[in-house]
Amino acid sequence: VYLVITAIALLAALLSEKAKLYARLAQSNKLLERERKNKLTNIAAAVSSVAHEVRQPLMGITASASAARRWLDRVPPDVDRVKQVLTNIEQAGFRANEVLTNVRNLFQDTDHEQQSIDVNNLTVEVLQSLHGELNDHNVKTDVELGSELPHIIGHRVQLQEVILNLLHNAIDAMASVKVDHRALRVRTKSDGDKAVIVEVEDSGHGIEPQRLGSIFEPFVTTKPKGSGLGLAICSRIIERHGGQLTASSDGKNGALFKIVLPVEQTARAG
Amino acid sequence: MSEIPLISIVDDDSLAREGICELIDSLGYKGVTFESANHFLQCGQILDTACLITDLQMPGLNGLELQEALRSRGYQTPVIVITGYPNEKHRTRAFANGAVGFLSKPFNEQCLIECLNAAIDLRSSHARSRVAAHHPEITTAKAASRR
Repeated sequence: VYLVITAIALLAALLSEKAKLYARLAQSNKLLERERKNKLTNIAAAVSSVAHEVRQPLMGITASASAARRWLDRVPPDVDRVKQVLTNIEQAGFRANEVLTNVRNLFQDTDHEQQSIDVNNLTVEVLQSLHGELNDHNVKTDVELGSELPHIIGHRVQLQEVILNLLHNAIDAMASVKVDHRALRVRTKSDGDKAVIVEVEDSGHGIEPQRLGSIFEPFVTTKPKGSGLGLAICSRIIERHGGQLTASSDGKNGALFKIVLPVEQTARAG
Repeated sequence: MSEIPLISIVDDDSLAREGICELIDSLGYKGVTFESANHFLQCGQILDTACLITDLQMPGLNGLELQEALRSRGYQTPVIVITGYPNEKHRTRAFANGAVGFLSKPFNEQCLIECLNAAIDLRSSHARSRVAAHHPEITTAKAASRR
């Protein structure tokens, strides 16, 4: 009898252990599935963004080529006009290439190790690369860098791309306001030792509050000239760094984009 | 001698906008470009526009909203909607609002020519009914602003 009881107890213990293992397996399967879905969403967003951005110059190229053929068919052919059209086609080809180069840089970066990043340094670098463009658009730039920001861990090129996109959007947003009203404010600060914050604020006409919810979806929003990747990708990049990209605006007096990057969280690869 | 039809092109992307305008000119029409829906709405050339070609995804009013803004102001301008990101929902909405065409970027010139022909036909039939009804456009515009 004693032996039978021991055997039953042992069996019960084994069964319960097996059930626990199955539960753990199911849980990790669920996590894997979620991760896979996240990846697919990222890929889908990236592919859609690229397709949309490449189709703009492609539209320019195909329409210009059709036009050039028609100018040549005229009697006499309008050669000067054809030359002009060919220059436009050339420019459009380079633009399409620029979009692809940007995407390649982004994906190359994910193959590299993440690194410790000084966000102040990164912000200043991006601002310097845009120095000429800011001048050309008569944008008055006010930069406020927080002191003793903790370093964050992440993908440098990706984060550069996000800040570059926000600055491009800000310049575009101010193109239609008077020259002496074009003010760009860039601020970095820390949220204790938990997170680092980058804010980009423009003095454009703002974003209507009812549109704010959808601007991070692919193509709902403004198109950054040249750089080719929209806010949808920016938002995904920040999310993958465990952070958050948000926008606020009253629809009249400019817009404020805020990047929050946690110090502890390490960005996942890929 | 009949006037050269004016075709307005609204697209926030300069390469697409200028390319399409070039094609319009080469087809023997007069193309004029606008970088946003608001620029077009404020240009004072809506009545002269024989056909409006508008991009769909744009900052500010998008192409479908521009189409609706024109209708609500009483304009009957034929509209061709173009997009680099086509989907069925937008296509249905564009046609429900009376679009003469919905083209994916980059489009083939023959498709554009067919849409433009349809637009010009539609405009002349509007013009014929206007003459018959003694300037109803003015009445329509006023009625729309009263609403």
